[in-house]
Amino acid sequence: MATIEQKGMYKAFPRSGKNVSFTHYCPGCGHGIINKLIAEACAELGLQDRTIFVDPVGCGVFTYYYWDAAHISAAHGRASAAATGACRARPDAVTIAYQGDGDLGAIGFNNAFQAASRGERFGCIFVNNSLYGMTGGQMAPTTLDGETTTTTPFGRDPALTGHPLHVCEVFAQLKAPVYIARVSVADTRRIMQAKKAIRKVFEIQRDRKGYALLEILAPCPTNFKMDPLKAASFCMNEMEKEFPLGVFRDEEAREPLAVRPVPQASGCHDLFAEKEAVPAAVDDPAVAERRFKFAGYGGQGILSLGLCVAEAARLERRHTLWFPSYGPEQRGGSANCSVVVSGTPIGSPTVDHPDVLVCMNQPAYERFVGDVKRGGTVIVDETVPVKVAPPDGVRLIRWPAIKMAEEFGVPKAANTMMLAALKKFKCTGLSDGNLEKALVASFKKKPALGEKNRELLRQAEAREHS
Amino acid sequence: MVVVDKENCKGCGRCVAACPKKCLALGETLNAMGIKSVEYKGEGCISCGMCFYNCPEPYALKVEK
Amino acid sequence: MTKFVKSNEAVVMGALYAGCDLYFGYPITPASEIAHGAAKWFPMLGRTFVQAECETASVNMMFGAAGAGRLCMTATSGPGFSLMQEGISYLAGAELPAVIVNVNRAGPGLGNVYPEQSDYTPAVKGGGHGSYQTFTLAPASAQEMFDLTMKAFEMSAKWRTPAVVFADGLQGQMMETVKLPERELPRPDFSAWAAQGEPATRGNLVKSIYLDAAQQEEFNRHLQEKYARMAADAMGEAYLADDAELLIVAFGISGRIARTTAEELRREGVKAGVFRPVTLNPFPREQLAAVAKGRRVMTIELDAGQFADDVRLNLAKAGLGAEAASVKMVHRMGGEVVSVDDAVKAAKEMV
Repeated sequence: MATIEQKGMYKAFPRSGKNVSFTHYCPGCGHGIINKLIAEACAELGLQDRTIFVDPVGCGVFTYYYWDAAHISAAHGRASAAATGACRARPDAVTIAYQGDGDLGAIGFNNAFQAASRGERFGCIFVNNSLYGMTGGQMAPTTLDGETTTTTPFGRDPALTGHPLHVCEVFAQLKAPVYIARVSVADTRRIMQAKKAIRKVFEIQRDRKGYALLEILAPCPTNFKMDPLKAASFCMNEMEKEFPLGVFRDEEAREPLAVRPVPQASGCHDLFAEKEAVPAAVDDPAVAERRFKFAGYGGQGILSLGLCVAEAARLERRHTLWFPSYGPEQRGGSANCSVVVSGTPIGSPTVDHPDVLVCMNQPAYERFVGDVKRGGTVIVDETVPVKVAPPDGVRLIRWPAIKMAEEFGVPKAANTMMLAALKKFKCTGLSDGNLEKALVASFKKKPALGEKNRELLRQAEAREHS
Repeated sequence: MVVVDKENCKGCGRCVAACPKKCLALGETLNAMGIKSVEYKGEGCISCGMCFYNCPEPYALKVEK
Repeated sequence: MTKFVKSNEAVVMGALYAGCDLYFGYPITPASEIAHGAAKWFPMLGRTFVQAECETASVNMMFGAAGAGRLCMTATSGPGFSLMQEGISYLAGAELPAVIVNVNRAGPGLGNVYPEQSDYTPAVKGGGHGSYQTFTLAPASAQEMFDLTMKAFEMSAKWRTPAVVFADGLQGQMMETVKLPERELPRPDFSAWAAQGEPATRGNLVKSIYLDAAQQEEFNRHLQEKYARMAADAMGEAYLADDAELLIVAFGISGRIARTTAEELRREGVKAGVFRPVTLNPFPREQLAAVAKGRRVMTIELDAGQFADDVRLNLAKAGLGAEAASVKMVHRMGGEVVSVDDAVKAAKEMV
């Protein structure tokens, strides 16, 4: 029989900065026992090359001194989030997160819980020694009722701090995890049980079965303020009353869920470049900048009217910019969008003084009419009472967009009626052909509706305007 | 048969308690760190390895077959 | 080949062309379209999209993915960016490449979703603990949202430090034409230091802890020396600045307003020019000094003066004390945007 000795650990620990081959753990520390079992399982299963350990901040922070495999040392409480990133980045790796009961039970609980709920492909080995070890024995969520710690000097009082947190039992409410168990390293029999469970966590990752959580009760002589043997019996007798050992879920045999296929593209060029190619803008200093504002009530097609003019401008190879007012205004309230068209690169996108203002309702008209530039044009739907006159030198056109759309039996085409007015009164400086092409293109999913709108555009434009 | 490396032992006593044959004990001599480390009494070891698994240190002891 | 796209979507396209393999993010207005684009396009290219439970999770997922040697990104706005500061410090401390897009909204606190540039200090000077720097870029158009996101990945990998693409809510919503490159960038090889779960990287260790003070100081010296070299990649753009008597300094969306303001001022007989930093860290100090020397300087910004102070600092450091003292600010807050009229009026008062 082979010699029983440590496998999977470096022979010496230079990363500790000292030329030693003993660990930083206190005499009788449960972490020490667990560290050895983890290294052994990793080596025995031949997984050291594939393994990525995600180390915590706590007593387990220096595991990278010991385990002979790759390490990512995460922020306090964030090992489960970092492990999520690592296992997603390297799906073929065996990712193991190592966390304490402060690291996972308190600050990192939501990250761990959500990773488990997503069924992330990593194993989480969670050491519960009922308190914060490294930082000096403070209460952890797993501290027992009545247990004295440096932050429960009079013994933990549930009336003030609630009750010990049962992490396995909570995680067992989740569908995705494949294996959830609690073991201990308090005595020989328990250590052998923990050895098998740790090995199983590695096997589940090796076989890409899904998320596994293993909670390991561990003695902390220093902060229990007991000698190692008393600490071990406290861990066995007192802690197990609160945290019974056992397997809460073992569905290792379950086939992992297959990802539902989604349409695939061969690369960025295939995904982006092929479709909706558009001619690049061409500089033409002779073409002055023209600023449009389209305003009205959400749902009147205001934003798509602006997009239509922008599309026409791009077909005409102008520098073009479109942007909506966004946020709460957008939710069914007043909507407006701005379009800037120019022969040269566009500076400010904000349309403070529109050359052309199109309004579909009264609040929009009254809010923006005063800003229209001299020589500009305001087109307002006929239904809007004009109580505020436009500034001097601004042309006002009242246009029956909403009425005509209803007459044509396509009430939603009110914005097309407005486009007809822009064409009829030569407000855009863009060719009729491009305006029409842009209108039809905006119905690319429903070509028939596009043709219908083209027809309505022509009929509306032909209408006499008093 | 258990082989002890005194310099890597922290004297916690877990192995002494775990040994089914009670053939380990904390000695009197101090190691470099000033710890009374474990010693093999010289007989009785059945090479079961329980001392190794109870020990929190990787290189404090090993068991040769 | 060009497309007409929303700037927020251009960010995702830029990231994909740059070889970004993972997106981790938490929904927040006004960065939503970035998440929507990523949720659709990353999987279509066989890459990974993960919606995280919070921004702290997002940035630490990036720590894991970058630590495992993959390019990754997140996108957020002010409140989320605040939650990421600790994680960004860890990324810098472990010298990991990662891209964080911050679409600045009005603050502090909940504020609203309209544009501000008030996250300047955390985005440019670093809002987390310790002496670290991010490579921070400030796009001002859909094309730059594409190009500077690609650049962010390039610089983040080159300097092994997190990069911040510092945009704003207004810009994110703008649709403009974007010219796409012919090819995607090749994936960088991080196997020299990354924990990739492969034989060659078994000995690799990604960490930011140096228990020994002397080692921690030595590491800090290494970082500071790296950041000094990073200055070589500072970028800025001058416009109408050759004969300018008044220089308007502004970045991002304010840089666009500055451009129209300068054009308007010239029409009214005032020789105005613009200097727009494209990187905010490293700050293009020499390029600014070259066009600011002997001139009055005005800034346009959507914050309470954080940018103006940095312009003063950089002018002073370039030995232009008088110009630094002359810096006047035109600004709006709360989501209001500086109008060209306001900027023109303020400029005239200065000249």
